[in-house]
Parts: sequence; structure tokens; C-alpha cells
Amino acid sequence: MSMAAVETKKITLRTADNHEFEVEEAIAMEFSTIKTFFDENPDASEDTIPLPNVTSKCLSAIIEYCKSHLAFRARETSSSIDEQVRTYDEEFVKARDNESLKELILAANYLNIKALLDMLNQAVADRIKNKSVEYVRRFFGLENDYTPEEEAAIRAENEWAFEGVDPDDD
Amino acid sequence: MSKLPMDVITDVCYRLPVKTLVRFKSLSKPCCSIIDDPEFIRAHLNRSNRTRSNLNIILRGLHLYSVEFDALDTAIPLEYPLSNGAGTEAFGSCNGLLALRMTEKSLALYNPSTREFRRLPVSQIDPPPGESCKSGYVFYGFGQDVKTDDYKVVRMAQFNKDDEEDDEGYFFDYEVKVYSLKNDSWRKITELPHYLRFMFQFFYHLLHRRGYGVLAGGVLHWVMPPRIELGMRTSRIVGFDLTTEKFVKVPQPECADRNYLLDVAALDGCLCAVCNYNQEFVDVWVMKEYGMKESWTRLLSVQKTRAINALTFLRPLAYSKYRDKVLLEINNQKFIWYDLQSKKMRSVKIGGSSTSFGAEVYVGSLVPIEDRKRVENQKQNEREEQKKRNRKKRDDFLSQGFKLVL
Repeated sequence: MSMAAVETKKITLRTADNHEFEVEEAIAMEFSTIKTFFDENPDASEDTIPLPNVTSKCLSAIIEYCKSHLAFRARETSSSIDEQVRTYDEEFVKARDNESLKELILAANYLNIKALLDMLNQAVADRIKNKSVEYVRRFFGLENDYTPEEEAAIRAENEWAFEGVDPDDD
Repeated sequence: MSKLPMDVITDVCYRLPVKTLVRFKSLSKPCCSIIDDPEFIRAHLNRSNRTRSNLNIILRGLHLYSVEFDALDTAIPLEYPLSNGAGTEAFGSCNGLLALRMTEKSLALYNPSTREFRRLPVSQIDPPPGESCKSGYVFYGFGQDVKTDDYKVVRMAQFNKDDEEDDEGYFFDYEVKVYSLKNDSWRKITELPHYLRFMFQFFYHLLHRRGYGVLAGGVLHWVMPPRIELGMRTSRIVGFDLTTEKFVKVPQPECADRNYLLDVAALDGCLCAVCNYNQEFVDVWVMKEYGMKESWTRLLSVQKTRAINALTFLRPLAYSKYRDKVLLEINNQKFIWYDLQSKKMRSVKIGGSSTSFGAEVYVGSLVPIEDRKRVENQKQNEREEQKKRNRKKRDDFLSQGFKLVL
């Protein structure tokens, strides 16, 4: 560890598609998976960390997110900061399609970034809450293991819950 | 196409409203198991309370209406089986379950979010000889016994002597019964405190639905108004502990000026004392730690305004999502947002309901009324019994018809 205050430690990460990212230590420590790894292997800080489950597209977005949130946290808490954080999070999610959202969730889950995962899961919940059963099965990749009779029965029992559902647009 | 692991799917499910989750039981059998799991249901409820989501307000007038707390714009009629027109009262709500009274003999528990409905068994009111229970003299409360995770209904019936001409006599006989959902039965409470005999004042309790117990800290609360003629100069708060099923006395805030009319309310699970000073201004106190007299804190004070020139009744309902405001019901007619910082008030217009109502908050939850395990076991037992009967039929047939010895 250098004595000079100016130099910030950087960690190198390598993604599944073989891109290398150099990130500040503070940002890498937001990834609990990596933080735990360094806590257990303090000499490994010079090595490149392989992330075989994360693409460069995802990692780049995640790094952006963590950078921005670190900056928000460095400022004094106020309701206007909270408002800015909410707006940032909304924008982060808005333009992404379902597939991209899922990839980010898998990456955030793998890297164990709780705040990001919470935010993404909430975004998914908001997206699917009014969707049909078929749409959500496709979204989650779920297999329908009900027999036709079983499914008809369970639908009939809760008919009212199927009213007012968005038509499928995918 | 990426596939998300089940624990991510479960985490997403925690964040979904109840209607969506009821629909999503059809996604797959594993999903249905998750949604039906008591642990999931509890965590979903806790999260709703913590993040203040899935909240609704019931408007009780001639009919029942429900309005979503987040939007607070349109009230929709609350539909439930056996809705036969006007007159149903919702006398309590707890963890998403509503307690409904159609008539004294017709009580029910209803979860408006899952639409599960269950009638309570009828329990007679038994007045002592020479006394009767008149309409309007029965009071109710509903809540959860946290210790046993049981939901209970309390019914207090006040008896008048048949030959008494004076309706406002001081001493009344009471019958107090408690219904337990787990036992699906009523039990009479035999140890009644002596002060119960002069607790209820007819006009005070009939107005503004004061006969319904207010739930806080696992205790149902009613106010015993002052009885100057009996030497009681101030109101008292009386509680019924749902776990011990005993009456308890509850400490009141120390107010400098004691000339107020007292009401109780619940705000975010904490007991509130609403002190009404001659309809000119109202102070709302909150008991931050249940049972601790020192924890009574004055939360807000509302003055009468040009628009509201008399405060006949005030009830705090809920904090806003970020806890900077409190929603108040005023005079059974208006909803007001009270800003705790600026102390300013803002009126809220809710369309679609009647002009006069009493409001109560309830949270949308998956909490079941029927014990599913018990129902499943019952069904399983019935299937076993049917199989046995079929086997016996077959054996009888074979042994008689073919003279076989089995």
C-alpha cells in the first residue's frame, strides 16, 4: 500500500468476454463477493479478478451505478438528494428491456451488490405486477407443471384476480 | 433467455401486491407453494408494514368502500359474500383481516385482498333475568393474540333493566365474550372489573363508532368518559389484553389542561390519545412505547379554521410514505394531510363514496382465515374414509355374492 494520499488503489476485473476493467477499490468493495474475497486473501489485491458470470456490458453499467451511488452517499442527506437518487434509479432502469434487466440481476446477484439487487428486483416487480400469467412465465423462464384441469381449477377459484390484467405485448 | 434463480423470484414476489400474487399462484406449483407458505406470508406482511405499501382505507358509511392509500383518489365499493345492502359495519382490522358485523347474530372475518370470507359461529347474548340487551348496546373489538398467532373478536353486551325508566342509569350488567379463530369458538369472560359497569355512556359511544375497540400493543382500547356525578373527573383508557384475555388500565398522557374530550386511535401500531378541547383545537398524543407513561409525546395540534369551524371529531389514520405527514379524518367528512414540519394542512378529495364515513386503515395481505393445514388434513382424512368405505363395499359384495371368505 502506497503512502501517498493522492494515489487511489485500483483493482482489475476481467469479464466473461475477456474485457479488463480497472476500478477504484472503493467501487470494487461495493461488490460483497469481491470484498469477502479480499478480506480472506489480503495479498491478492494485485491480481486480476476473473468474473466468468458477468459480461462487459453488465459490468460497465454496474460500475456506473456504484460510482453514482457512492457520490450520492458522500453528500449530506436531504430530501432533495433522496429525490435525485430516485430519479437516477428510475432512469437507470427505464430504457432497459426485460432481457437486459435480467442479465443485470444475475450479475448483481453473483457479485452480491445488495442495494442494486433490491432496486432491480423492485423494478421487475413494478414491471410485472399487472401482467398475465403467460407473460410472467416467459419472463421468469418457468415451466407450467399444472395439468390443464389443475390450472383451470386454480383459475376458477381466483377468477377476480385475473381481471384488469395488461394485454401481452411481447 | 436468462432464467432467474428461485430466491430472486421470491424476492420479487415480496414486492408484489396481493391481487397479483393470488393470480401468480397459477404460474407453477413451486410458485404456488412459495405464495402459500406461512413464512412468505408473514415476511410479505412485515415488508408492507415496514415500507408502508399495500395500504388501504376503509370508509364506513351506509355501505363499505375501500380506497388505496398511495393514490387516495377514488373509493370503490367493498364487495364481500353476503353483502345484502346497507348496514354492514367493519369493526376492526388487523394484518389484512377485517371483522364485519352484519347483525348481532351475523359476524364474519374477511380478507378483502384474497377475498377469503368466513362466518363466525353464532353466540347468544344471555341477559340475566329481568334484563335485556337493547340494540346499540353491543360493542366490539378485533385483533391478534401475538403470542399464539390467533385472531380474536371481543363482544361486550350491556344490559338494561326491563323495568327501569331511566335509560341512563349508572350501573349496568355486562356480558363479555371472546371468539378465538384457532378454536373456532366463543368463551365467556367471567372476571369483569367493577369499573366496567359504568364505562359506557350511550351517546358518547354510539357516536363516531367509539364502541369499536382500538388495537395497539396487542390490546383493544376503549375510553371511559368522565363521570362527574361519581367523582371521576377525567376520562380513563380501558384495555382488553388479547393474550391474557383480561382487562387492563392504560396510562394516559399528562396534559396541562385536562378539560378535554378523549378519544383513542392507533397510528402505525402505536396508541394515540386524541384530546378535543371544546371543538376549538385538538391535540394528538402518541404513546411511543406501549405501556410506558413517560413515552406519551404530543405529535400534533389542529386548530379550527374558517373551512372547518368546529372540530367535532378527529382521528389520525396513517403516516405518509416518508413519514413527514399524517392523514387525519375530521368530522367524519374530510380527509386532511397534516405536515409535521410546516404544520400546514391540506385537504384531500376522495371521490365515489358517501359524504359521511368513519375511516380505518387496513393493509393488503395474504393472511389466511382458514388454517390451510387443517383443511388439507381434513380433506386427506375424508379421502381415507371414503377409500375405506369403498373397500368395505367391495369386500361385502364379494363375500356375499360369491360366498368368499376373505
